[in-house]
Amino acid sequence: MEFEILPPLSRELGGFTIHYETVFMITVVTGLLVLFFWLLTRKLRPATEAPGRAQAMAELLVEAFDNLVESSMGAKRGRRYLPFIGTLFFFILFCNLVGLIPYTLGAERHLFGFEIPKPEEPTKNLNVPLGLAFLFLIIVHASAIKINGLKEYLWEYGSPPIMIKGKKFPNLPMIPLNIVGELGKAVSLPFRLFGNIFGGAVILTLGLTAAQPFLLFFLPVGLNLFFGVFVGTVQAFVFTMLAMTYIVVAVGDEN
Amino acid sequence: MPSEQFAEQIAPLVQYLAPAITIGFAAIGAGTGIGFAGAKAVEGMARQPKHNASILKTMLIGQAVAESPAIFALVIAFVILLSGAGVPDAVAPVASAAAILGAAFAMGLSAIGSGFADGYVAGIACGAQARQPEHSGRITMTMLIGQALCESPVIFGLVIASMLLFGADLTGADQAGVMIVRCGEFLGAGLAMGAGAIGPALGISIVAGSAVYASAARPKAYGVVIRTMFIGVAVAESTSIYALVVAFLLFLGVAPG
Repeated sequence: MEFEILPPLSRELGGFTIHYETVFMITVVTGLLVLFFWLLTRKLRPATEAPGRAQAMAELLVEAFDNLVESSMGAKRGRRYLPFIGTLFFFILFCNLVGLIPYTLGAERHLFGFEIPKPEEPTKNLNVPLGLAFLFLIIVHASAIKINGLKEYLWEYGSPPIMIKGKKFPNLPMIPLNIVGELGKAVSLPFRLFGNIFGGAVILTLGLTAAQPFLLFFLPVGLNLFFGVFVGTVQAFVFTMLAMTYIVVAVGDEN
Repeated sequence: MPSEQFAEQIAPLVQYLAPAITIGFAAIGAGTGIGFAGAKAVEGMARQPKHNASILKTMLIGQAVAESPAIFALVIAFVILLSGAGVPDAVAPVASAAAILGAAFAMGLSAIGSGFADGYVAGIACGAQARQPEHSGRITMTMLIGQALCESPVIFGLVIASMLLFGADLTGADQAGVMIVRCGEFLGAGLAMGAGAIGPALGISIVAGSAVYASAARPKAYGVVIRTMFIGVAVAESTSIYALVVAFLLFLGVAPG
């Protein structure tokens, strides 16, 4: 079996380059998410009865995120960001875990005329974490402007303000520092996710190619367990937590 | 002037030296940090033998995350060693060798700081776990967030290393004048980001470690602790962003003459 580190398959579509495997796997992930949560919420019992197993699990998941978000942002505001935070976590988690699907599962098969590519994590492609970070940037800055007002938002870049004769002045030397700090957050968030997942994929490929036959007995399971399950879950959690905390820092408390 | 034969001749030098630099330096930080975490875990277990299992769990999670900077460096080392990216370009071998070595410095040096930083935060978390075992979940969560923040400088190093390996501009670098300029730029970018990431990572780890400890010592003040940690970390990180900016400027060739 040949393992290779290849760049994503590119297809041209109307002048744009599309990375076929990444788009295909994101579609698969979306389908899995919808299927998973639909199955969990199929037979919801009313609040007066004890929940069934699926419902209990669904409630556990939603409550965990609800507590997390509301303890950081306050009850009303937290509830509004709950769908974003929850979906962000599960999307990244499923993206990272989908790389565990065995290599030959989709080999040489076609679905409705589309070729099924080798299953791999879509987060392995730099564009996916960058896209998520772009989405996050829009949400953070739009939230800050909408909730605090444009003037407050711009003052944040000149903070802490210098007091001269009782009037506030923006702290000019801090302005480049604050702008650069925002850029640092925007850069580190996607690259952390990309570095961990892509690095794991490279190590997996190289480790399994170069391994002695007797190592192949337990090496695939061990490496996949660590890089796929553990690192994937931790990185999804870290991305979500950092995104949420950055929103809290930018928007401020409900008081 | 260098020819294609020259490129073939120096290829082994670059391909073996660069991964050595990368992973050799990275192991300094990660090894020390993970050892520190283990030491604090052992201390904690001696203090609270009843909670051995939870302390061990925190230690293992923290140490596994502290491996990340070294894993980034290992990946770059493999990429240089085993793939075409580590072979000097046939047309401009000296400049491209400088780019590869610059990438090695960027990745290897930056992993020193972040490796130790991650391990330090994990160690503080184990100590806090021993003191307040009932706040285990919160300690672990704060530890993971703190470690993720400590990894920002090494991620910048990874970015610069990747840019140097895959995106170095080698046009015209076969002529002597341009070649020296490119060599200086690539090596400079690599050293700037690599060395410039060590200090900020250690500084971030001090902030994050105290935040982890405070999250257990004063659970009621958790909101303030987390927000202050983020502000402190942002300022501590700014020096590494200056290094990133300088590395970018050098890489893009934005320099007089």
